[in-house]
Amino acid sequence: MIATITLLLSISLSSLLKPELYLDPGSGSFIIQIAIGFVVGAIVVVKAYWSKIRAFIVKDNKNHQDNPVSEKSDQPNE
Amino acid sequence: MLMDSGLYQDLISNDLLIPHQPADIQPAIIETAYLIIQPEIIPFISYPYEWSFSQLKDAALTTLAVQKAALAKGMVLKDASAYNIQFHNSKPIFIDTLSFEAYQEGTPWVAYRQFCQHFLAPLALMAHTDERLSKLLRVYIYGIPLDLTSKLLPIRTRLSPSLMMHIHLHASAQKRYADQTHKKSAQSKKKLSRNSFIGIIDNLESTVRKLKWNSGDTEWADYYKNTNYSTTATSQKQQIITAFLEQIQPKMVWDLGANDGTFSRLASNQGIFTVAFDIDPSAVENNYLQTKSYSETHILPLQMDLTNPSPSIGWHSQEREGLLERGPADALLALALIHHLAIGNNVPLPELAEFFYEAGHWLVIEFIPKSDSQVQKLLAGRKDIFTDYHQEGFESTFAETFEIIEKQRIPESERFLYLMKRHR
Repeated sequence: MIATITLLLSISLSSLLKPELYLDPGSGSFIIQIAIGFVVGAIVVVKAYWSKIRAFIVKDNKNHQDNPVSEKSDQPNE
Repeated sequence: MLMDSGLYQDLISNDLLIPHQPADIQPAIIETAYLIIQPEIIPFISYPYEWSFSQLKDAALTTLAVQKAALAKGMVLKDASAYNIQFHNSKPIFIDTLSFEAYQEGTPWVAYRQFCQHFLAPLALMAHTDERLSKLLRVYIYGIPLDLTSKLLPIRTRLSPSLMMHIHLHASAQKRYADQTHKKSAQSKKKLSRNSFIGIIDNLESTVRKLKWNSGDTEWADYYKNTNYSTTATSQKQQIITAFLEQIQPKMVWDLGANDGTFSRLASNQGIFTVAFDIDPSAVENNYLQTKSYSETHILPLQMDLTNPSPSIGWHSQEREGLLERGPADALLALALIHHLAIGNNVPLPELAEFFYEAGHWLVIEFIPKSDSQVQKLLAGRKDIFTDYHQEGFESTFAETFEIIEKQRIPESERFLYLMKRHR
């Protein structure tokens, strides 16, 4: 996980952070935010799709099984 | 847009924003004025360097909750300053009603750096390095610089992906791009998608939630387990203070040296707004956690070193008020306090009387003689140079600035409680 994020960040930083920007004191913050946005934005998309896929699987299982399927939260950070 | 979008109602119903009314005041410049508003009054303004860990953490989570609610209605917060949060009815609440603007897809969160410097940096330092580093907020009024935070945090925090991104890499990026000048047009081409925007807010929220501080091991954390009061003395002391408060009928009480707020609650439980100051971060933290678990609304625990109280700071020394500028309180409680200041900190009694005179109209003060075991502890291992510290000396000194209305001995102890009213 850590390695993946660091790698993704390095890729984002190298592609995004070409020094062609007008820079005020907040520029570093702007740039890092775009880079972090790439990583965590991807997670938001995956989460959104994952909940759809999971809903589909759960629904599918309900059609085929008599026992209800136990639910787990997909918010491990809370 | 705040009102039309329904965001105001959402925030008010979730206790996230200070309610306001349109004010019946004619604007000075009619052409540029849209509306003058009168927000609900907050009885006591406090600052982030006076908050305990959980207070700052809850303030951070409130800011993010406001941002999330705003985004759902197509708006964003343009400020994420910790000074935009105040404790109202003991809960953190956003007070800058004018901080909202329309969200434009693709733009990054303009307050991201401010959030990191005002909230994430001090919380990470308190959780991972030392709780006392929150005092850096008093030095750095615009938030703790991220390069300094990165230096002060232990190396292991680089293994946390969130702290690595929001603090360490953020600090590096600021340094790397600080001195270069390039075309502004290129910056506008870099977009932050809505999903990325949401991702950053979510990630900041989970990062803040994960930060923890154990408040168990400071000097005063077990104070009430180590006092020399009998049960009768404690209950008598409470009865005397309650009777004094009934005489005073204050609207606002400052309890100076409140520890975890045991005696502050004699006032706050009667609906008197009470600020419970203490020097000890654990005591303030425990007090705050107690106000949360019992949903108390009239008590505000704050950290304050009375030998070096919050000064006026910021531009023209007028942006953030010092402690005394926020007073005077209607009544002060100074219980088991003055021996610490007079003997522990060498503050002369006339200086103490002068400070209390400036801080409050009424004073409920406890005098503890030298013969008391707690005072003996303070005197142990040092020369007793405090020749004026005795009951007659205390009374004659305070009589110069206060009228002594009533004096009562606490049964089964050598201690006295005084009710005093300051001379005009």
